[in-house]
Amino acid sequence: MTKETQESQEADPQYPFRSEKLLPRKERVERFLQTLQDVLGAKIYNLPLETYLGTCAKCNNCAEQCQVYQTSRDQRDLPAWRSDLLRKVYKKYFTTSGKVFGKLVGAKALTEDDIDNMVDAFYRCNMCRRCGVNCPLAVDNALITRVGRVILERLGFVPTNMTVSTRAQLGEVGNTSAIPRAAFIDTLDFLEEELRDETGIAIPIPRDVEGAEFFFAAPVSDYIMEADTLLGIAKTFYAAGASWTVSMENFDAINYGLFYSDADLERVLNRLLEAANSLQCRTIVIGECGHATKVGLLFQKVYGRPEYHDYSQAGS
Amino acid sequence: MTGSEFIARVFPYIAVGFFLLGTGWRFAHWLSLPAHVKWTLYPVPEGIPGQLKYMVKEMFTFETLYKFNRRLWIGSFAMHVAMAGSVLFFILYLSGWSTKFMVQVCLCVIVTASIYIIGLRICDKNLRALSNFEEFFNLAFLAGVAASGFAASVPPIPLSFRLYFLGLMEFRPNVSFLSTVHLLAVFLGGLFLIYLPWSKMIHYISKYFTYHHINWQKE
Repeated sequence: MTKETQESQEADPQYPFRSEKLLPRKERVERFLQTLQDVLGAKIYNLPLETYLGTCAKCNNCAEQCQVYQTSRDQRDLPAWRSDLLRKVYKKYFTTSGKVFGKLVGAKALTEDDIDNMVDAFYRCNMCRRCGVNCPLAVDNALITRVGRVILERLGFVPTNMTVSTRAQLGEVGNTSAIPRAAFIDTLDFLEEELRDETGIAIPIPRDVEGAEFFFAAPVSDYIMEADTLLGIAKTFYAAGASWTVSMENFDAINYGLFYSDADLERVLNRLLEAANSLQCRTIVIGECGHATKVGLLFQKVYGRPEYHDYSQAGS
Repeated sequence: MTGSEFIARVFPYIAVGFFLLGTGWRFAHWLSLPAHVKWTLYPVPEGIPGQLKYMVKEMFTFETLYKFNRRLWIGSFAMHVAMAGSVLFFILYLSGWSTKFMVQVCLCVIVTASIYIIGLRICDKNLRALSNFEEFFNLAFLAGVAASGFAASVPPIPLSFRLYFLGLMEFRPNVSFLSTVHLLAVFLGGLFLIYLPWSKMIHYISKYFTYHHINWQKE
């Protein structure tokens, strides 16, 4: 094994939980710029990226709303400062003013150290989007953070716990906690018993019902740790007389792709949509968990759009 | 044609043309971008009346800045109100109203507020970390334009300076009486108009997209 290959397979000691299969250091700048070009070329993010990156007034209003900055008081947690890491690169390579005037307009040539700073900064943000709510110019720094993370993922900088979970979800077991099918069946049987004991009514949790009106999926934790939510949903469906079902193959709505990767987001979302289609369900209902619901709402319309697929496949 | 004549006779038309074209191009460009990922940010004001209410309140009070960044709000609000005021009162002045003094007050406020914000960006460590040359240049440029405008009005603007602008609107500018100070004001003002659509100060139209097309997108 060459030294370079070895390096590419090791985690960055500085970020052991945010890196896997790292690209060799000297190749990172080129890959970063190529991926940023892919993202811009895909046209999905063009409007928000152009307006967010091009018009931020640096008023620092965002800092007063950011709970991370309010706690740390660390300059690296200023939302506008963090976004500026990507803004400088965008200006340098993708705007005429940046190419011509360089530092005068805040443009900066990308270095490997800049990428290190981004790994740190983009994962200090929790993407809550609170800073965008009261921005006078409606700049949402969370989108910039997300795009930054999507690019970093192509370099190998990605939270290991998320990729491990996503691999399990996209694999045979079909869920992020790798719950075997038999255990899942046992869990649902147990929850049905709980419902019967509590209400005295045989409230079912239907499984793989073809043609059901509602296809229900919840984050896996709702089935095994926070069952009260699921029990409430089962009661609601029962009281409404609704036809619903849980898929035995795809019951986990978690989509960690939201936090680091467009490609994985699309794979997980497609899997869910295909499961609903195969059972011929008309409506997907996603249980309690903001991110899973948001993925469906925010990205479902992108699903199937050619430029999105072009981007997902670029550089892979 | 001498340089002075070019500045007085031709440059204002070029500046206004570039301003309108630049603003129009950027508006059309953003409008033409394909439907992007839905990136709605709640809470979304209810319906068009709710959105208008929010925007009007924000535009006339800078409420978000007022709530979270009071020191910057003082300068920013004063500067923007003075910019709008100077344009409004100047139009009234050209229409024959006696609003010269109000124009002068507004120009003074612009200069003062710009210098105040520059100072804030230097003294506040977070704002300093966020600011680069462009931020300071934009403020200094604006202050320079306002200062030159004020200088052109002192001693009192002669009636003929009003006639110069009226002549411009009729495409028959009489420039024989313009002084160097007047020419400087026209030149800097024109450069600012050309620069405006290509700078980050384009937020006078970008806000429409960031609010209505992105954050408040429901479909």
